[in-house]
Amino acid sequence: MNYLISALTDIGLTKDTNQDAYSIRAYKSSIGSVVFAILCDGMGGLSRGEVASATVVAAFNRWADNELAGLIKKGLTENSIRNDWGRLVTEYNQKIKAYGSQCGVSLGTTLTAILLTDSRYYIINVGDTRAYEIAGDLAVLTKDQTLVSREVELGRLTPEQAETDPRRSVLLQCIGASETVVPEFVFGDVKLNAVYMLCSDGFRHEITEDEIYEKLSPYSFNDVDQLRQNMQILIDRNKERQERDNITVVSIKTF
Amino acid sequence: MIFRLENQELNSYLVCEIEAHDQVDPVSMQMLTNNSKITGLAPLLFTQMDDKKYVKYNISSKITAEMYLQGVVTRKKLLNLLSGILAGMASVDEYMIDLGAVILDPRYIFVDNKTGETNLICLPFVSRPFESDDFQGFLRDMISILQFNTDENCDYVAKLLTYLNGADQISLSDFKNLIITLSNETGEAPVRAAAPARKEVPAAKVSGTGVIVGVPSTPKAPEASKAQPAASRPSREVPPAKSEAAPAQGSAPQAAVSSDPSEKKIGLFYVLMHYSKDNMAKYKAQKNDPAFQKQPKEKKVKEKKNGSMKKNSTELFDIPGVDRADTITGISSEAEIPAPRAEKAAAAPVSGGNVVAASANKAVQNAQPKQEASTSSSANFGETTVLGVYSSAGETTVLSGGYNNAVKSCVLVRRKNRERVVINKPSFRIGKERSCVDYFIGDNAAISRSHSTINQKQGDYYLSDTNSTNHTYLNGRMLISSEEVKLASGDVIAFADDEFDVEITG
Repeated sequence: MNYLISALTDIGLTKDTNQDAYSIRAYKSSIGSVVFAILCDGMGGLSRGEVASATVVAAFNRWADNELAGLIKKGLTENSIRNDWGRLVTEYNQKIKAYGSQCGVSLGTTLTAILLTDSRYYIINVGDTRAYEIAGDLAVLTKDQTLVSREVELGRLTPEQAETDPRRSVLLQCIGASETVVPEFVFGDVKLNAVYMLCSDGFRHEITEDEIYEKLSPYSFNDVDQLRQNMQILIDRNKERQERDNITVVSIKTF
Repeated sequence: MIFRLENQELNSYLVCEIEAHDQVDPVSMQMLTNNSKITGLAPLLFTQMDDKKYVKYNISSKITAEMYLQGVVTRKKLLNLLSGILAGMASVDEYMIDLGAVILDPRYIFVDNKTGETNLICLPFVSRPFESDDFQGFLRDMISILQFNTDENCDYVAKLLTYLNGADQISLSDFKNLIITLSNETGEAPVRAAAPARKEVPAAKVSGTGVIVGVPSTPKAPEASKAQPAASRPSREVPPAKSEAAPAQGSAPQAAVSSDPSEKKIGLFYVLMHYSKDNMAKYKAQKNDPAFQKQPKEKKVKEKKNGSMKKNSTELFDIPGVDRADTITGISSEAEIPAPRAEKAAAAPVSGGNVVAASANKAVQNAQPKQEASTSSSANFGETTVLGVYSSAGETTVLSGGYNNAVKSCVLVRRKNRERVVINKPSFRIGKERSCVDYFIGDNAAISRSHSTINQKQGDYYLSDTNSTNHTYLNGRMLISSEEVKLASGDVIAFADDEFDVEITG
């Protein structure tokens, strides 16, 4: 599998710090090229959100550098991913919480990460950062773990109402600020000529799915430069529409 | 010679097996193997196993020019490639290798997608002599089937084609200067720097980009380079789209004639670079002198350019020359390719011959909603003629249709409402996302945003599914993700549950 990869982040209009953290690593392995991408949206006043998101990104990167090869050698399975990643989430939830109580503050982070191989993708999700598959259609692969999305599921709010509800950014759980964290895992077949996109919520409140598709569909760019331009256009559009939060988007096209 | 691809750990090689009838040129072989890094050429090494001999070209991390030029091509990309090819040709001549030894085929030219570095494959064999016509034809063929980024000013394409069509023998240094001029027009240098593939934990604005490329698919043995030029002479001078002063040709003065290499063999490239009657005469003399003779290979009979319209490539391509500066930004460039190609044909500034693709016959078709600003663009151009219109006797005109009459046309007829959809682009997209399809289906929710594509290749039409949710079917059979099936008249295509009959004529 070949990949076109690009990512952009923007501090946004009002924040003093960018508490989004992301990383993309690409490896050549015995099963072909694999890509591991991760995005964390931190929260907590001052710079604490940054600490939380950076910590989790670093932890998963260490895993990728040190453990992934071994996993592939033994044979990559959904279970092995669930075990490794679940373990990391639990460990860092505790660590960040401990750090928080030490400093008398509260901090936490969301997490969306994807491992792409020739055949399968493996996704972990905590919070309201999202993973999309943009191919023939646009599909959101992850479920937001927010208060309002639960309300929508329970039929107490419509999706449209949820988008404008003042509580729309309230999370049900996040790493570092919850008693326990139960991550969502999503597995599927990787499509050829598709774009796998991770983004923080700042990227997708003010723009529509149509607009995302128009710019990030596999047919709307041919090289990294165009991809980056397209992502920038969407970020700018968000800011024009007064999105206040940090904005981050990571795109990986398979070809 | 037999070609195949080989991978060793992190490296990829194009391997050429030397067969009994291949005649190795010892001088070229020496030059190529002893110099490990010749600018613009793929590094090669000679190996032998038992009695089999091979030449291996290192093409690691590179893709073929064919792949590089897929999809929508930007100015930067094309100019980059052209300057890379010229740099390679210059090297070949510098090392006293016959230019005819270079494979001029986009499947055998290799490009680093990140850095833009271009490598040519130069065979160490006794080759047929280099003909400028071949080179021009190869470049023309390569450029003319491309899809250009219509967000940019595509004047440069017209200028390139004019230049290639213009002279009987092009000067490579002039051509190189033309490319430099065109590159400088936007202030961009032809070659871009590599971008790193990993970034972590950013602060304000940071970006990470990269490309990972696997191994290109195994190429077939190259056909002998086509000798027939896609000849054309513009039948009338058409003013360029923008009000720029000088026309494309001769945009830079020719390099001054320098020293005269009396004893050594004069390469054609040298003559082209340092043109003078003397040099030309010397070159011609050497050509006839048995001491400098190479073994002649089979000669190709070429059709002479005589102003008549002949285009062998049956593929259509976008017609450049439309200034898009005042159109709506933020719309994907693919969307800007307007449906009515007749308009673009009317707007084409130069080399009216080649730019035939939009036959006036196939005027505005099907439900193309994106008229947008394209209608105003034709007003920018001065006197242009619409192809296919015959004028009174005495005036030279362009043949209607303009391309090889063996091109078939394909029409899809929607069963629901008898709507006729003409497949009028080399890569025709179908779906419900208005901004990136050529045929928009708005009344069927089962259709995906990008549902299918119909590609034209060598006159035939091929259907493929683009990861649609409810699939694409041909005669009841579902297409799998990367499959391309040839269409025949009478076939029935189904996009999800929407059926279309296929009519192919010609």
